[in-house]
Amino acid sequence: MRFALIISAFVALLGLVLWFAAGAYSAAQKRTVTYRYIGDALAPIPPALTRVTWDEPEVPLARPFSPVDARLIGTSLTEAWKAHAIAQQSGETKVLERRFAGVALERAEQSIDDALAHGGRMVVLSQHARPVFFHLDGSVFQAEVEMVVARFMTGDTADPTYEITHDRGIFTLLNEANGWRVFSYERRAVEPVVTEPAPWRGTMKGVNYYPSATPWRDFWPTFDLQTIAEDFDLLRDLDADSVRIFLTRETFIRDDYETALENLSDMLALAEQKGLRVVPTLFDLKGDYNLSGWTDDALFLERVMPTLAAAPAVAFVDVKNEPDLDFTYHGEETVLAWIKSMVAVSRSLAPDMPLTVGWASAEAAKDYLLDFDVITYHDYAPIDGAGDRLAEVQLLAGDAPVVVTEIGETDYTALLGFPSSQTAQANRLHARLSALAGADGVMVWTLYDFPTVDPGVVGSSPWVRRLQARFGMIMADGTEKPAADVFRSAAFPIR
Amino acid sequence: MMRTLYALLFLLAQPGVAQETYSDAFGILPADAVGQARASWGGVSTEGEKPAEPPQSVLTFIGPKSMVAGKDIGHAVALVMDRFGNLVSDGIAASFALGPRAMSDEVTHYGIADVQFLPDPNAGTFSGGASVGERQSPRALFRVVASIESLSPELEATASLVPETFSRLATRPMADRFANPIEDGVGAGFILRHEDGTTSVIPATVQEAIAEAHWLVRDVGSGGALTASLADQESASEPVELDPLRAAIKAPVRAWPLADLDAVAMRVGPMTTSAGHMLSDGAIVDFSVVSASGARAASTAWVQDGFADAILPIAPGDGPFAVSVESALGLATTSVQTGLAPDVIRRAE
Repeated sequence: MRFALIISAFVALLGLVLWFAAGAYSAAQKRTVTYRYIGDALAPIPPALTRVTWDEPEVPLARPFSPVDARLIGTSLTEAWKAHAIAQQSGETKVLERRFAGVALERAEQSIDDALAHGGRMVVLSQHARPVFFHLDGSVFQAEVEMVVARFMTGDTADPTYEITHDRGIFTLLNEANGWRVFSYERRAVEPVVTEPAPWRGTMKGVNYYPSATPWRDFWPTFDLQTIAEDFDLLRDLDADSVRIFLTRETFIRDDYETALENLSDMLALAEQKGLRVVPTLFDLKGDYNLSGWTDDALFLERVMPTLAAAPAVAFVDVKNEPDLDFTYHGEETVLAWIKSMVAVSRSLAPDMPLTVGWASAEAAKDYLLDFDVITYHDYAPIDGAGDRLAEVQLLAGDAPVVVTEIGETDYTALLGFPSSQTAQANRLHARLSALAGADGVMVWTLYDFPTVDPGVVGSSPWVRRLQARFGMIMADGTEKPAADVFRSAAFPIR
Repeated sequence: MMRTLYALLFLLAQPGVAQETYSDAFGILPADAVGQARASWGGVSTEGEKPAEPPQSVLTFIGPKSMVAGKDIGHAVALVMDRFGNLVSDGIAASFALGPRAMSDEVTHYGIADVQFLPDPNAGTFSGGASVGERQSPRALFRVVASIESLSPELEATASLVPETFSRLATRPMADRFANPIEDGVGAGFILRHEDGTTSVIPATVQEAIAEAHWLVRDVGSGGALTASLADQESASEPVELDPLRAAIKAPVRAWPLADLDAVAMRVGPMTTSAGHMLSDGAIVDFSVVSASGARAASTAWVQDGFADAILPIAPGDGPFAVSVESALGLATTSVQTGLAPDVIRRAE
């Protein structure tokens, strides 16, 4: 009887342990994020700024066009299209009155009504203008403008339509009591943005990288080239030939972005010096796809793409990390339209730069191959099917190389080796590397454990934070785990 | 095997139905959903370029709203649209009526025709407008104001300044070189540079072409050179005299003995001015006394309620006393004998 009780208690305890471990493992596999505070989930709203670049007038103006005029009118044009974008999402046309007047206001309101009725959406990504008329008393202004515009439309019964175009037109603005307002806008010419692929060939054995003490949102504000240099040496010691890094939009659209851009440039030069190729991943931690933010997204690209294109170390650019995880909350068509827009802008800024998107799963990679130069996805799914998933993606990818830019295993031990351990981590990593040996590249998440995991990034769940803290091949104190040796000794890729 | 299966699925996949769309300056929508109003928008759409129709409405903007006669250039702008609000084609002629002036043969570019003009030199409020063919704009108003920089203010003769009275400072009527009077409300000023090197600035405004100020002359030590200023123009200076403050009557001096102290108390007052009021409280009064035997004493007091009191260390029996009292009203001398103290007199009364 006593023996039976002991056995029952043991079984019950074992069941409880397994139940907790399973929960933890399930949380680790979960690819969506739960936030404790709404503020953690929202993307910061940058202050109102002009996003218009100006050319010198080619004809004499009655009134000099000063830098102050450029800022005020540029801000009005920026805010006008931002209000147009907001109205398309909110259905609230009152926001238009602040920046549109007269004929333009009527047309903007009509366009919002049509957008809400039929699902069409339009976003102005960038504006480049040249003054052509300025009233002597500063009350009437006219400019020729060239804009990059994204339009897309979804329907229940038809394929989505996407247009990325160069629109050229005439703006007429009036300076009224509450500032400049667009009185008239007429499109005078339109051309599709034509982009060409930029093929990439190569192989990769790489690692996703943040410093141990300053991952995610802390990386750029506390940028330390010395620490990065030491970590790049560690990567070379692990026999890695490439590194995947992450660029947050907010860092590079601030007014004082030059420092961050210099840091990026230094980091890329350092990678070249150390013999590492770099896969910069853009829009890290992007929280939303609101149409009103696309202009700032394009500005981010305008600022970083030239630097990335000028760096020989950059292999290809990952435009967005795991966008398929955003389909549910932000809409598949909207996310895809955003990707197409950002790819078009990126290609126009850096025509020779190969591009990819890091899909969160092989299934997404298969469904949304689009026109990328490199097909990349992340594989955290059960190891058993990893090889088959890769083969399926490669089949559909055709000639495009396939790189699995994130694989990884936690070693977090809650109790007695559950849900994982350093040995289990090493074993799983070995198995997954073996299964993916046919890929053109694999990159492990991540170099280090992170003692502090930002809940604003992975969510507030203590389980998830603990699991995420322990994906490193090297502990925070610099001690290598067995997984490091597995990675070091992996002969990869096997083609 | 899997590759073959996926290749088969890929080949068998049904193409989606392409949707015919219409895009223009403000968005995209299904081609079959384009309403009549939207189809009328000018410029380039999916269906090509839609040219503007003939002019229908004209808006006029004239500025600056206030122009200085003979100096400022005006700018008249006509924004010309067709019946749908589209900017009209380039090259359409517009005419402008700008007060008494008429200007024509300006042509549109991106829907705008404009002309710069020198307004009529007569000051006033004018209406202007533009016409394109038979279409006229609503009128727009603009003003022409006198040219201040073309005139020099001239002072009207100023009487002597009398302390504690209002003095009128004024210019002669002012008009610019086109005989336009200076408008009411224009800021002006008078500057009095005193003989002692100090300066008084008296603000004024123009009424009926005259700058005028009424100035309470107080705490002014001297006259000086007066000028009038209007904007950055200043008149020639005119000398102005200051009538000094005088006593209305010679203030009586009383003296009474202070036996305990072997001294004499003196009181002077009431000290009234020629302007009809008491000498201000706190004003300094200097007493200087010489007794019959030649003993001297002096003291300083301050005026309160028109009187100044002093105690002088001099023997009460050594009178009569020669008393000198010096104040803002000047120097007064008198001879007094000691008598009853004022409070004793009041009690007796």
